[in-house]
Formats: sequence, structure tokens, C-alpha cells
Amino acid sequence: MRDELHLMELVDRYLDGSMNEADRVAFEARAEASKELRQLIEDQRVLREGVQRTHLRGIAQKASPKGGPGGSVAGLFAILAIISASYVLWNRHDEFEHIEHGIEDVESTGSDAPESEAAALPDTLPEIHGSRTTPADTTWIVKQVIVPVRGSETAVIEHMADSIRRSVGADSIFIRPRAMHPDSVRKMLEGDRAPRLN
Amino acid sequence: MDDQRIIELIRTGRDHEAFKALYAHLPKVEHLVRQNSGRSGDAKDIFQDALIIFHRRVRTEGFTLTSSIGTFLFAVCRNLWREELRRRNKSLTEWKLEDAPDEPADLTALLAREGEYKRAEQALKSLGAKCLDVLTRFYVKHEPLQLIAKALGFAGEGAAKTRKYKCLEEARKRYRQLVQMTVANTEHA
Repeated sequence: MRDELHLMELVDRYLDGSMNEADRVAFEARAEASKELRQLIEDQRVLREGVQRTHLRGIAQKASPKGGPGGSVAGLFAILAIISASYVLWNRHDEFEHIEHGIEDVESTGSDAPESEAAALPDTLPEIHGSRTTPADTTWIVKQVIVPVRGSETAVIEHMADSIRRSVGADSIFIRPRAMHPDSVRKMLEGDRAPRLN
Repeated sequence: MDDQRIIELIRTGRDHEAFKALYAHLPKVEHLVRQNSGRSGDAKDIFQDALIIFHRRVRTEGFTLTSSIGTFLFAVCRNLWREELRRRNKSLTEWKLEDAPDEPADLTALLAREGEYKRAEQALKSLGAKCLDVLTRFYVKHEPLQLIAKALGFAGEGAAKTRKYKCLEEARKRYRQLVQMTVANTEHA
């Protein structure tokens, strides 16, 4: 084994307290004289704790109560990221029935910004008052991304929304991550009206 | 479940059972976080950190419980959340909860290394599942090298050992980079 690897093994034995007295004294003297070795011992100690923590984090996640009745807002297990060109569009939903086709489920974890997909929109856009949206060749993509996540993963949604905002420019798109109760999500998917964003 | 029983569970490696019982303390933390510009998802994140910190405390030699576990977890969460708000550059003027007098005395020391541990975790996670598996089996589950080699398909004990240290070496390299980055950012700010 290479020298560095051998040294790491020694550090392990030192940290485990499994060195015999003579070895330990010699090792400590060596550390005393070497800043690099002291740094290695410290780093290795922190990394070993890091392995332990990563393991425990997995257990903590599994042990965590799932959403459900009685969990109040914490019990939400669905978060909706709703991305649309303008919320005004939702209020004029009757003119945009096909928009519903833009709804799709996506996996939440680790996914980057979802790909925008131009929904089949009419050639001429209806006049929309009070919207800051500027029609351009590629705009007027109206899309909802429904991302089922548990409460602790709201960060994922925010991150996703942020990256979309950055890539399209916040002025030309209205993005709003929104927490919804699972029942509302179901209703929305089954129903004929998209929820109004406000 | 009483506190002594939970400590016993942790000491005997039944972490899942212990954590499950400890989640009873989550609602109070959720309340705290939501009162102070956070979401319940944030609360869950810091609560998990608090569970891990508590676990380390129990593993520490000579540990005795000086306050109830609930009090301890809450105090840790309060500190972590305040730290997080500071990190997000949120003004703390709206902070609605003052330090409680029952703050464990060694809390500052206990939380001082949090940043380092977090970066270590980050470095380790970036290595990929196989490395993490080897390291977990070795350092957490204390499986013998022979068993690790067999389970993960290494040629033998030697190969498993070499792989383990290579993973650790790579983790250290990435950890160092993360530490450097943090130092640079701090100096920048």
C-alpha cells in the first residue's frame, strides 16, 4: 500500500484507541513534530464523524413521520410548483383549455429545471391586461409542474423555481412554487379549473 | 417513551426506534421555525441535525443527561435555526424567542464544529454510493474487511482495504476544497 494510505491506517488505529502504549507515544511525538500529520488526524476524525452522520441521516429520514392527518401544515406531502406565463392566464382559463395538457408529474429529487414544452397555443394570443408578460417567439409557454414532495423537500422546489427564473428571466415568466393540500391537488387534476394564483 | 429508555436504545444501536420516538418533539420545533420566517420543511431539516447531534452526545464518553432530551433538542434547534437565518442574511429583529435559561452549558462547544461536519458529509456524499457503502460498513457497522470484500465484490481483504483508504483520501481532498471555498467566501464577505 502506498505510504499515504498506510499513514491513514495508522491514524485510524490512533483514533480508535487501538494502538499499544509504545506506538501511541511514538505516534503522538510524530504528530507533535508535523503540522501535516496533525491536520490529517483532524480531517480524518471529522470525516469519520461525517460517515457516521451520513448514515444517521438516512435513519432519521426513515424514522420521520410521514405526512397525514394531524400533521397540520407539516403534513403536506404535495407541493406544487406552478409555472405559467402569467397568472392572468389562469383567470381566463376558458380560453386556454388546452393548457391543462401541460400538466405532468415529475420526479422531485435532484431534478433540474423541468424542460419547457410549448403547449399548443393559439396563433394569436388574446390580449391580456395588467400582465407584465411580453409575448415573444418562445414565450407563452404555459406549464404547470406538479412535484410531489414531502415537507422537508421544499428546498428542492425553491431551487428549481430559482433556476427556471434565472434561465428565462424573472420578468417574462411568472413562477410560483405553491404548497397545496393533496386533496386540492387531486381536485385540480380532476376538475376543470386551474386554481387561481394570488 | 422515557428519556432513559431512548438513551438505552441509542447505546444498543437501535437508532431507528430511538429517532422515531424522538420525533414527538418535532412539533414544538416546527412552531418555533414557522414563527421565525421558516417553513416546516426547514424545521424538519434542523430537527434531523439535532437528532444527529444528540446521538453524538450520547456516544461521547462520560455522557449523562443533564436536561430532558426534549429541552436539549429544542435548544439545539433554536441555535441552528438562528444560525441558518443569519446565513440567509435575514434580519434577526423579528426573532420571537429569547434564549431560554435552560440552555445546556456545553451547547456552544457542541455546535462549534457543525460547519465542518456538514462539509465532511457533503464531501462524502459526492463520492458516490459505493465509496460511501465501503466507508459506512467499515466505520459505522464495523464489518470485517473480509465481509466487506465479499459483499461488494472486491478481490479480497487487501483490495477492500485499499479501496476504503482511496475513498477516504478522495473524501479528504474534496473536504479540503470545501473548507478552502468557505474560507474564501468568508474573506470575501
